[in-house]
Amino acid sequence: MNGTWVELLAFFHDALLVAMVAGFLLGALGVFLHLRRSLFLGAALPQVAGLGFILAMAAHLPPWLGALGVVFGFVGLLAWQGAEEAGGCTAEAVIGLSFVTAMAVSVLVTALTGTETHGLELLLKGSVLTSTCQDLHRLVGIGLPWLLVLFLLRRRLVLISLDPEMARTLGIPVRPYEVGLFFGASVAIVLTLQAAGAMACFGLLLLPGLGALAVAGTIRGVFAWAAALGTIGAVGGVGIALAWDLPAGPTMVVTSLGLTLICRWAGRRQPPLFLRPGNGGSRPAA
Amino acid sequence: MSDGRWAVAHEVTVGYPGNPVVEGVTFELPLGSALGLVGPNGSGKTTLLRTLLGLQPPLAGRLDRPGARPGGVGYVPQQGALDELFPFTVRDMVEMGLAARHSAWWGPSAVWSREAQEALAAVGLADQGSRLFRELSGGMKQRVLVARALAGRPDLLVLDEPTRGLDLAQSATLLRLLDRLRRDRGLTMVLVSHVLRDVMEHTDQLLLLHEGRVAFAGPTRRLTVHDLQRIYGVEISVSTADLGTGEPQGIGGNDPGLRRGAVVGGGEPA
Repeated sequence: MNGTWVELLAFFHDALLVAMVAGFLLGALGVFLHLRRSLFLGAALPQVAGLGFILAMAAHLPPWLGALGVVFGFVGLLAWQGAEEAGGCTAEAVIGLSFVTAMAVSVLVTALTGTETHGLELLLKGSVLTSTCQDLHRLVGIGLPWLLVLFLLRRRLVLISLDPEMARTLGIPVRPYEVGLFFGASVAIVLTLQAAGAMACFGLLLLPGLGALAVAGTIRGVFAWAAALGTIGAVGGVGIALAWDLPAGPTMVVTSLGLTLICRWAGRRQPPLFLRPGNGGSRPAA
Repeated sequence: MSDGRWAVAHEVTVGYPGNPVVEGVTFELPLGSALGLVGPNGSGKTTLLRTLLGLQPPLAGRLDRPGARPGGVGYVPQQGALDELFPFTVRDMVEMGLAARHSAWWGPSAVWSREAQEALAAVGLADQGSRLFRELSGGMKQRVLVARALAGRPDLLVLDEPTRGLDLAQSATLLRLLDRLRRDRGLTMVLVSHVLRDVMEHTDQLLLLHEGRVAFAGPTRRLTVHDLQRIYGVEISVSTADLGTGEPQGIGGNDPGLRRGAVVGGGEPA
């Protein structure tokens, strides 16, 4: 049995590393979307990127190129129209419209062009088990440096996400930072889409942040917990998928959901972890 | 050149294209002065404030801001405007005020921490830096937000309904703190409120908004009971025994009845 596991791990080590980096990247990035209350965007971006993926497959182009092109176009359109209000619609309405349109057009393009439905299945389930070292190199080479950029800009990004009005009065250009954040999320999503699938992309943006908020006692702790939970959820999901021969994307989501529920339960039973000494988490308000 | 004034407005109309909110706004904001911006909910205070801060252009009229400089405004939002779901410490909150003064990319944490600590000390919360913001009382939260605004070393401090949700003791502590900061640091201040009591003793200039127009503009001490009755068309709960019948002797600072209860149209007595 041990021998079998070791062989499996050796065979799928690229897949596990891709899952690890994807979980780390999406978990940490998702905290910014939580802060900005833009999680709906986290659901729409993978779906829109998925449309680009399908279009590229139909046109016999590299799928990631199509996904990147379409998702950048979408974010660019949002930025141009204004994230607050677009053509008389709320930003949420525009994002929702994009979500449902992308989903419908993906299915229709598949049907009309005769593209294999395999592409749609990939988007739904992910194909992390077939990840190659090229996938890993792309993730590590582009995704992690981008996360480092966001980390270095974190102070301004946190202010802009939490209190954009104050940022504006301080003379900080809010819109370019927001657009940068959305482009960053798009890059991370495109890089992980083929491996994890649209559903798992959204799951890994949403769930680790939710779990982290329950157990972390500081904002730095929220980022650290979210990255860790994302990593564990993604790698754990791949492990479960391997063990029971299940699709990897949904198992990543279910594993992350389980971790989130445990964190929420633990967070209610004890004071937040990662409390700084003397921060008086349980002291009554003065 | 500041010309001794932070802002000068002449017949300004504020609002949104096709939807003017307040018309005919004329006032001056001398450096080091405190302007009270008072009106009921929905009277256009926030729209006027956003225009004053340069966040939206005036629809008509002329607004000059000779005293404005990038990063020179400290903004204290209404209580409850900030999401308290996240575990920000008091120091995290105050460090946000430093974001425009330091490099966007990197900065030694020790410098940020020291400057945040100085701002906290200025509001009497030097020992609270590591507590969670969401666990503080309303009054302490407001003082933290004042510290956050001070951390940016502003010339102008803008406070949007700073006493909303605070009890009398907390309000008094906060307003006294603001008086002291203005005096010690030479700050220009804009105090937005729907509670007249809050601005009477703590501002020099008053801008009273009512039904889309400026109902009173001028030195706060010149506001009389007759002005208030004329503007709102209702009896004002002020003991007129001391004031006579509304001679322009002013009501700021002398009348306990007004200080206790006067709320501008639609608000609730504090």
